[in-house]
Amino acid sequence: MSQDALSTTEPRPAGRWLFAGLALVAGVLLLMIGRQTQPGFGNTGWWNEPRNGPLVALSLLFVFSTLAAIFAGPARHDRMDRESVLALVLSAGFLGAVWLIGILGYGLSVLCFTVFAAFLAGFRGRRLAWVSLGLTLAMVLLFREALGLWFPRAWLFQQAPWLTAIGRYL
Amino acid sequence: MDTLLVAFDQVASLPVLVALVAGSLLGIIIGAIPGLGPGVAIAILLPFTFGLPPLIGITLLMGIYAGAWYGGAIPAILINTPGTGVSVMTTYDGYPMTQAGQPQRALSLAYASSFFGGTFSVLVLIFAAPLLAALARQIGSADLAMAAALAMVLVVTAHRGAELPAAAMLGLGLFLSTVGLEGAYGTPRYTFGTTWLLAGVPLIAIILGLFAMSQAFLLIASDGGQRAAAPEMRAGLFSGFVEVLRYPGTLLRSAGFGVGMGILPGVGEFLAQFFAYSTARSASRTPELFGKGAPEGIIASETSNNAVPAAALVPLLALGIPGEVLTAMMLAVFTVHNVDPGPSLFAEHGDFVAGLYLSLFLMNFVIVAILLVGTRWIALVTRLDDRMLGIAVLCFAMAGTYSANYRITDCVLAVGFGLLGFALRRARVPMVPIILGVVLGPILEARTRQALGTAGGDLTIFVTRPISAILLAVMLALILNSLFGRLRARR
Repeated sequence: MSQDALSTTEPRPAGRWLFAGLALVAGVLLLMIGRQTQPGFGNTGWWNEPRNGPLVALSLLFVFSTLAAIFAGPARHDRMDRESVLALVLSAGFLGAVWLIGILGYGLSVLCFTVFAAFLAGFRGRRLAWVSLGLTLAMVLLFREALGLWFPRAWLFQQAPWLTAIGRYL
Repeated sequence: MDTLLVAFDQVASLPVLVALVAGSLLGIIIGAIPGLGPGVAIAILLPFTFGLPPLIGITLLMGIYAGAWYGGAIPAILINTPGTGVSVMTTYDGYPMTQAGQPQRALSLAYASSFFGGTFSVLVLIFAAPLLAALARQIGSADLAMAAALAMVLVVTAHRGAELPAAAMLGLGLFLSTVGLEGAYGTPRYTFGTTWLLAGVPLIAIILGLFAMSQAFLLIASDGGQRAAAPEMRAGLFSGFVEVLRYPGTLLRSAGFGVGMGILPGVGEFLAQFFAYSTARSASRTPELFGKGAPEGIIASETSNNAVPAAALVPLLALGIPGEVLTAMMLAVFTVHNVDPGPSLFAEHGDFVAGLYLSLFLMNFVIVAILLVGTRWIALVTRLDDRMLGIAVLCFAMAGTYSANYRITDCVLAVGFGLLGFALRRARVPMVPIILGVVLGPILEARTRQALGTAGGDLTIFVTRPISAILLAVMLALILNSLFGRLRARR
C-alpha cells in the first residue's frame, strides 16, 4: 500500500458560490440584528445582552464563509446538473407528500411518494410497482402498526364510515 | 458490588434487552450496507427515541453506533467496499485475505479485534468518566465555557485542509442555536415574527435534513450501486479470537489510539485508525505484508475504530460536552428527558449510569453473537440497490420530521437542510461542525453568561482560573498550529 493511501488530507473543499451565498446571508442577517433581537432590560450586564450570541455566530459565519469562498477548491462538474435537479424535484415531491397526509392519510401519501421517487430513480414497469408497494407496506407496518405512530385524521377517511375503518390502518 | 447489582437491575428488563438486541442488529445491518451509516440511522431513529425512557433510547442508539462499526467490516472484507467510512482501512488487508481464499479468517479477525476494542473502551469509560466527573465538580462555569469552546476549536482544526469551511459551518451551527427565545430575558431572536420559530430551529429537522435526506438524494441519483457478489460463507468464524492473541501489542496500541482519539472532541475514528494502522505497520516484523492481507492491518483498523464509541461518551457523561456528531445527537435524548449529563449525573442518576455501562459492555457480546450466527445472511444486504435505500431513507425522514411536531414547517426546514447538506456533501464541506455548533452553542452561551455574571463582567476570569487558562492556552496553540501549518502548506 502506498503512503498516499494513508494520507488523511481530503481534497480541498469546493463550493465557492455556496460560501459566497452564505456570506451574503450572514451579512444581511447581521444588518438585521437590531430588528431581530431586542435589547436587555434591567441593567443586568453587557454579557446578558440577547444580541451577543447571534452577533458572534453571524460574524464567524460571515468572516469564514468569505474566506472559504476566496480559497475554495475547483468544483466538480460531473453530473452536477442532473443530481441538483433531481434533489430539487424530490424535495418538492417530499413536501407534496407531507401536505397530502392531511388529505389522503399516511399510507396513501407514502405510496404516492414512493411511486414518484421510484420513477425518478429510474425504476420502470414491474420493478417500479414492487419497489413502491414494498416500501409503502414496510413503512405502514412499521410506523402505523408496530410503533403505533399517530397521524391526523385525513379528509378522505371522513367521507364514509367504511373509509374511516380503513383509515385506522393507513 | 452494589453498583453491579444496580446495573443488572436496570438492564434486566425486557425493553432494555430488546433495545440492546434491536439496536445491535440494526447497527450491523446499517453498517453492512455501503452508502448508509450510523449517522443516517441515528438521525432517523432519534425522534422515536424521545418517547422512550433514557436508558432504552440511549441503548438503542449506542447499539446502532457500535453495531455499525462491526458491520462495516463485512462488505469491506468481502467485496472491497467499506460499509462505513471508518472501514476503509479494513479493505487494505481484509479484501486481499478474501482474494486469497480466507474470507472467514479475515472476518473472524475483524470481529475479534472489534470485540477487544469495544470492551476495552467500555472499561476505560467505567473508570475514566467518574474520575473526570469528580474533577469536573471542582470546575466552574468559566472552565466549562472554555471546555465547550475548546471542543469547537478541536472540531474545526481536526478537518485538516478544510479549516475555513469547517469554521464557517461552526458559525452556521452557532447561529442556528441562537434562533428562538433566548435564556436571559426570554426575548425572541431571529424568529421573523413567526411563532413556530419561538422554540428554536428543531434539532430533528437539522439532523434529518443534513445527514439523512442529503444522503438519500445522492443515493437516488446514483446508478444503483452495482457491486460484486459476496463470496459464499461457510462456518468457522471463531479462529480469529485465538489468532488476535498472537498480536497483543497491536491490540493494546490500537485500542489505546481508539480510546484516546474517542475522548478528544472532534477527532474520532478516522485519525485513530490512521495512527493505529501506521504504528502497527512500523512495529510489525513483516511490514511488507501490509496492504496484502496482513492480520495486524485488520486488527489495527478494527480495534481502533471500535474503541471509539464508548470512549466518545466520556466527555458527554462527565462534562455534558459531546465530542462528535453521534454523541451530540444522543445529547438530545438526555435533554428531552431532563437528564443533564455532567458532574451531577453520577450523583443524581447513578443507577442510570450503571445500567448504561452494563448495557454497553453486554452490547459487544450481543453483536459478536449476532455476527457469528448471522454473517452469511447479513452479507446479503450488500446487494441492496442504492436507489431503493435512498427512497426508504426519505420515507423514514418523512415520518420522523412530521411526527415530531405535526407541523409542515418542520418538514420545510428539513428539506431546506437536506438541500444544504446535499450541496455541502458535493462540495466536500464538513457538516459535523454544524451539529456541534447547534448543540454546544447554548452550553457556551449559558456558561459564559454565568461566568461573567459571577465576575461582574470581568473577562480576565477566563485567564485567572487555572483550568480555564490551560484550556484557553491549548485552544490558542491549536489555532496557531493550524494557521502556521496552513501557511507552511501554501509555501
